Amino acid sequence: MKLCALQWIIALAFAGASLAHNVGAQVLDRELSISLSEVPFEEALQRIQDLTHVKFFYSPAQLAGEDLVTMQVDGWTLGEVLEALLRPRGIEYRVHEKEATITLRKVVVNEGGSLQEGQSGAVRRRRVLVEVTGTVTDRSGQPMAGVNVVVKGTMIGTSTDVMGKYSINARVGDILIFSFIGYATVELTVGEAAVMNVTLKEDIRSLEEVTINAGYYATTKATQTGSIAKLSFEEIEQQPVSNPLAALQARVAGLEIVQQNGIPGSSFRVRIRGINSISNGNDPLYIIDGVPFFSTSLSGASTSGQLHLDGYSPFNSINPSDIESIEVLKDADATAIYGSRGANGVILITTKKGRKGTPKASLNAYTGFGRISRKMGLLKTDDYLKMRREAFENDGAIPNTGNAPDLMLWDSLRYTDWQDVLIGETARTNDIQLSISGGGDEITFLMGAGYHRETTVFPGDHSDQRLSAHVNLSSNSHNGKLRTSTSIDYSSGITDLLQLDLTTYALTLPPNAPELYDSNGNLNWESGSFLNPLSHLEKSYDAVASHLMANSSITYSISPSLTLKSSFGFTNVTRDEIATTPLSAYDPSIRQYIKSELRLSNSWFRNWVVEPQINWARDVGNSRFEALVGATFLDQKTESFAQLGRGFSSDALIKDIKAASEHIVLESSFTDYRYSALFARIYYAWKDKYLINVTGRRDGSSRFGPGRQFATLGAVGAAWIFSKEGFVSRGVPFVSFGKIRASYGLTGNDQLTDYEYLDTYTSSGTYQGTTALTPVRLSNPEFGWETNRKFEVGLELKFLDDRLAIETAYYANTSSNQLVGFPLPPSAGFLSVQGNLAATVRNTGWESSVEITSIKTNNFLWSTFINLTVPRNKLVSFPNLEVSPEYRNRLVVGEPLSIRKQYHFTGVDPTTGIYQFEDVDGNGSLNGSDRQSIVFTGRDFYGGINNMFHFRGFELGFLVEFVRQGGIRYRTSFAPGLKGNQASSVMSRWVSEGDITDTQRFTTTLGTAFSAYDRSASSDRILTDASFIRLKNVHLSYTVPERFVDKVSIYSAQVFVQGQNLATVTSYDGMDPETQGYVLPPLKVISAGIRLTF
Amino acid sequence: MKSMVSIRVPKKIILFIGLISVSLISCENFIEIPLPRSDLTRSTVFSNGETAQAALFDIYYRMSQAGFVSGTQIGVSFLTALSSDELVNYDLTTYSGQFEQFYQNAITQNSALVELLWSDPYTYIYRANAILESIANSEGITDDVKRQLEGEAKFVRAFSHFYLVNLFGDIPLVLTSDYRINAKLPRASVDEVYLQIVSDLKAAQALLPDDYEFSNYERTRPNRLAATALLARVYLYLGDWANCEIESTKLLEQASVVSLSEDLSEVFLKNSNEAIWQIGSDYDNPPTLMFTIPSPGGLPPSSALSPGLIQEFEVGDMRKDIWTGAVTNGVDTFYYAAKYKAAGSEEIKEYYVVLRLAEQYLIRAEARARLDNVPGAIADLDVVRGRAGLPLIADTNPSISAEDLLTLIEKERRVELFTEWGHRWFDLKRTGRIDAVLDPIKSDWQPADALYPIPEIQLLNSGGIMTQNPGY
Repeated sequence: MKLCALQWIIALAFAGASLAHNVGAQVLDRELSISLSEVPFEEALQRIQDLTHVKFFYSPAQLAGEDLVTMQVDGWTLGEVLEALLRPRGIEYRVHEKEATITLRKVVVNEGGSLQEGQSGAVRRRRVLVEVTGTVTDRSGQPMAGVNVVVKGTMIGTSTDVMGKYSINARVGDILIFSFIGYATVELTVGEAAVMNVTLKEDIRSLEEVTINAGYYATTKATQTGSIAKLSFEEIEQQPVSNPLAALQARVAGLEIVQQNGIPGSSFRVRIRGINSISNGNDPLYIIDGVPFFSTSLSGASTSGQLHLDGYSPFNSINPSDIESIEVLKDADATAIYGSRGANGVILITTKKGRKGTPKASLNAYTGFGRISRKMGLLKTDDYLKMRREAFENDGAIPNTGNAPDLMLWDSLRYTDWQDVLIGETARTNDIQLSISGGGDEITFLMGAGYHRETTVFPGDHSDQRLSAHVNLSSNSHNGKLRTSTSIDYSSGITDLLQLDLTTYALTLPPNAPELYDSNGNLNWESGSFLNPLSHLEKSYDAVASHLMANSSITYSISPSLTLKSSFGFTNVTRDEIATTPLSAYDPSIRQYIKSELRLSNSWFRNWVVEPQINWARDVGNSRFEALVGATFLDQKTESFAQLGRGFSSDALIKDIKAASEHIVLESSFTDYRYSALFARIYYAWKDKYLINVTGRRDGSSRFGPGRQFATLGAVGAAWIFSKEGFVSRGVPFVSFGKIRASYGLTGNDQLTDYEYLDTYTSSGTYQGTTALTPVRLSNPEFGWETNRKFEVGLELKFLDDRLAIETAYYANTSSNQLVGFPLPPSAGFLSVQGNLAATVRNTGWESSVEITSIKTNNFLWSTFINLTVPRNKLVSFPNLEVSPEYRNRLVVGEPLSIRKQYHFTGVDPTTGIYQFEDVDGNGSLNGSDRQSIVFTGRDFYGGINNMFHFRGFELGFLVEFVRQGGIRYRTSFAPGLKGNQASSVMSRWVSEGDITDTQRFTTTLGTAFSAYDRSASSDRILTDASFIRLKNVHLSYTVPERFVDKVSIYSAQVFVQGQNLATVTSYDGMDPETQGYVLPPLKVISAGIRLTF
Repeated sequence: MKSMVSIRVPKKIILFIGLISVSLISCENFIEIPLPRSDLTRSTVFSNGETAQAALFDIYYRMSQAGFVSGTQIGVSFLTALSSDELVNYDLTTYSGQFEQFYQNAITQNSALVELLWSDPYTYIYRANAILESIANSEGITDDVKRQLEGEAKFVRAFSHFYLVNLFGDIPLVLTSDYRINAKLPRASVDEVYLQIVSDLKAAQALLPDDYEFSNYERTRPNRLAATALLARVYLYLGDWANCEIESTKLLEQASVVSLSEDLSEVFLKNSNEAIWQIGSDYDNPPTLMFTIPSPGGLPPSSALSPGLIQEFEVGDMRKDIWTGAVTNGVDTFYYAAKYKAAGSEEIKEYYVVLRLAEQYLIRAEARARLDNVPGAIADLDVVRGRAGLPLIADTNPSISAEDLLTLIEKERRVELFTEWGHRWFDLKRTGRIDAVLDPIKSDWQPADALYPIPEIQLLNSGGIMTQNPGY
């Protein structure tokens, strides 16, 4: 007692001194992160002393009865920690700056409300109900609205009001949990001084807290047993892209995404962990807010087939700004609950939900400029004409106006860089998004609208536009038992593009080809000797699309551990396309033979899904049990209708099919797909250390014949968080987190055309006014599921307070019972019949991702994210491959699926100047059996490196994509020497006897050189290294300090600059190593914009 | 704590699992979907005459689209005209120069065009066989309709086999729709194939009517005349002159149904007097005839009539004026076949003529010349020459020898039937004159080029049973 009094006096004296010198702040500013779970008060003080190197003085007797301490904070100052720890307990403190000591003294509130000297009263205080109040602020001291405050272990909860204030009834000794999305959760013990002010800090990728959507249930990054990668909206909005799939490129290990071309609306090829199926679908299953997304394009082949070879991407209807997160489910543990549809992995897209708080609006707008990222080196006029003349000379042929208008009729002095003219424009992108979100305890809402417009690099005025709206409404009953969430997304797309990608013309039009316009400004046809590429601008391709997705879920908690849930989803997608080919697109001299054409395509997709589900979860001692059982009912219908109108009396009437003199229905199809399933999950965790997860599904699909519709699929996953073992935390304290996980299971693939098992006829057209019925297929009712066995083992490690995180996984997936169209000789009347093949395909690989926080201070943060995938694909077995008609020339057991069997190119014969190939069987002629050279066109490894820098308000990030792969080199379909431009590298051709080169002589007539060139397409000469390193994304943003924006009542303001595909390093000789071929490559886009919240 | 778990909770869970299971089991037939609205099962199709006929019409419908039986650049007329001496090719880039391959008689076995020439007729044969098998077991179709369908199906099967055997030599003879059998068929000899063709055509003759009443007087379905006309051609190709004369005579005696069109510009009109069988067109003035006019790619046209063919027209031959056209780029003139002219017009004026009577006069002329009936042969030849405005052999050279007359008949066939249905290509082959005619004008002519290669896909997909033609 005496000692205490003395200390108190000394403390007061020093306190005065320190206040006088105004340096007391220094000790209290020391930062610490601490995680305490029910530890004695004195031990808590000891931990704080150790972390901050301060010394506490207090009377042990006075503080002996304090409650156990639970506290979990990250990056708080000592002052904040002491406020949170001591104030609720009625303990005052004084700081002695010089000695870095702090004295503590207990002051309690008695019934009379006056302050008294502390006395040991722990027993009396226990379980007293108090009303705790306080204010929650963020790091800058701004009050935070909508923060959840819950009494741990109960359903008692509230949230903060607009001023950040809350009030809750709790017992002394209870633990309050303060949480808010994007902020680190804080847990504090309730003392009897009923004011608890809390500061929440932004959560910088705290692994422990990242919730992962696993579809039917949620897990966390730390406790997940499966392999699920997550991309959050922050990363999506850093990229000026209109298609959400584009935002995933290079960011997720094991996910291979290839853009098909650079035209607005282009599709993406997505593969999760390689190709599983030899001939059927290898696309992942896409689920948006619980509703399966129809990822097949609704574009009509007759209207847009020449522009978008795989159709206009349906994902372009999804506004990336509406997305909260994208989860990629990779292994059996994660995908088996999707059963027969999970073989190729699952991509879950979650849209944004409303947030509690006073309604805030945010505005996001940017404008961008896009150009082709690379140009090809092509022949200039001199070399081009030289090539042509040499070709005629080589062949002993004589050029005439029929076979060589470029030599005989056209100006030999003209030169045009057709890449500049035809694909050299600047594409403009404009994007604006507005959303309002807010709400209270019972209702939250989000309303958003967006507009996106993109133009092209082609000449002429073309654009692709999207208008979208997103609404979410969530409710929570007063007792917290009944919760609902409803989201509606609508988007309307307006496409006005060309019917054709002009890149082919840009690359192959002779450099001395004539003017495109004559002196009167009309299209020039050069006396009919030339097909003017701008004639394609006369043709139109317009589309109007609508996309409606609605889903809602109702959750009812019967008890704290038992929850019933049912979700309902509905999607309605339409796409209406019009393509016109007026007479003005033709040379006037032949218009009399031509009919103008109108092509209409109307497609429609609708599905609904109902998924009732029951969840049960319970903590019992150190054990946590979770279970769920649910069912799925899915119905999906598509319909498409395509028409052709021909012969319009005037181009002006061409969009009115009634004005056509002929009217033909090109397509009228209808499909129905139904699917039902029962699924279940059981999860058990002991001390969050040993985790086991079992999932399963019984599926039925209408795509299979009677008796083959049902299958049972399932998986088991387990994890051990060994860093929670005492021997690890003591033995290797620098390991802050460590987990080993493994999973094994069976999934299926039902991606095949509907009705394949039926022997049916359908109408093909009319003959003489009467319907014609055509057999749809050769039918085989006997085929069943394709199965995929997945195995994975993974290791997750974090070091040095999570500054370094490493995750690595090995997977082995085996697909068997392959569904293939068995190829038939054409003399059978059809080219294939559907069946199961006992072939096995195995995908194995390593995936690693590393996160490094190199620098982390108050002001500066540098973090690096690296992902690397090393995939291997192998055809393990294929019974009787050597007699399998189609596949013996495509596949080799022991080799990947992405190979080609080619002739072996042995060089250019120095005597004849012609390509030579190896005659493997030595029979004197080249035929199928000589195609023994195996050419790999897949990826050896790929990944991305993303660096992020935060400095005060600045954020800078750049993402580099790297891919090592084999590819197909640039090669025109016609031999060098024929009419049409070539890559400038062809000038290294063979000229005269004895020349050693790898390019054969020029030729212009059918002969050995001509056919040797043709054969080279089937040889390993076409293989090239298509590896590349690409600066995929750069973004720089600056958040304007609040003191500036506050004055104009804006919560936050940010300006940003973003770049996409800015630079590519590659040795690939064609236009682009990603797209290869003749298509327009992905554009280089630079954009700038603002984000405002007010 | 374990007991807590096992006693308190499961009741609810079991209840719910039970509920879901029950609902799922009761919905087991949830995944039973109805037939697509647009589809009928095979047994429904052949349960009545209307739909069974629709299955037959699918063959003609396919023929009327771009394919083997069409006037497009992938049809048999165009491709064989390139291979023979009728056309000059200027298109070296489409299909990687495959037109040039036909023109230079250097076709590769992986050619997509040759694959089409091969597989398209087999799709007709599959459909014909499916019809023949299905109507045999059908109870809902009347005997009259059965006879009609059987006759037409057999005609189509014979027609398809005829083109296959002439283009490719020995071929699989497909007489069933069962793919398990068809996938393993070896090549049948030319003789075997012809035996089947003759048998099918004779059956068709017996089953089909003489006129076009059954087809609403449209000449768009084969009748007995069509079977007879094709049979006459088959006997011509087989060198069975006697039967050849008999069959063509049967046809030439049907003047009330078919007769030569007086006016050359009327020959190819729809339901022209001269037409024996035409491929009808519901919507189109045949897009199928595009190769006969300059293609939209501009000049030079992708192909033009060969100077040799143009020279064959005698002075005053009206066919040169009426059946050919010309375009110029200012320096050179290119001729094109203009037998069909209505491609740009709004009204359907023309059908694609497969079999016409002029051929039958020339067939009988040749048969008669072979049988040493020179005056009879001259009479038939003069019918065709007279219509073209040319002097009659009966006037200018009545004492011509049979051998010289045969030369004149060959020339007459060339200028009458140019760019139609492979006549020139097949004439050169069956008369054995192909090497003599083509070797001088084709840069690298080989006798083996007279047969097209069996497409690679057939070789690959038949598990080694199929063999390639020599020289490929």
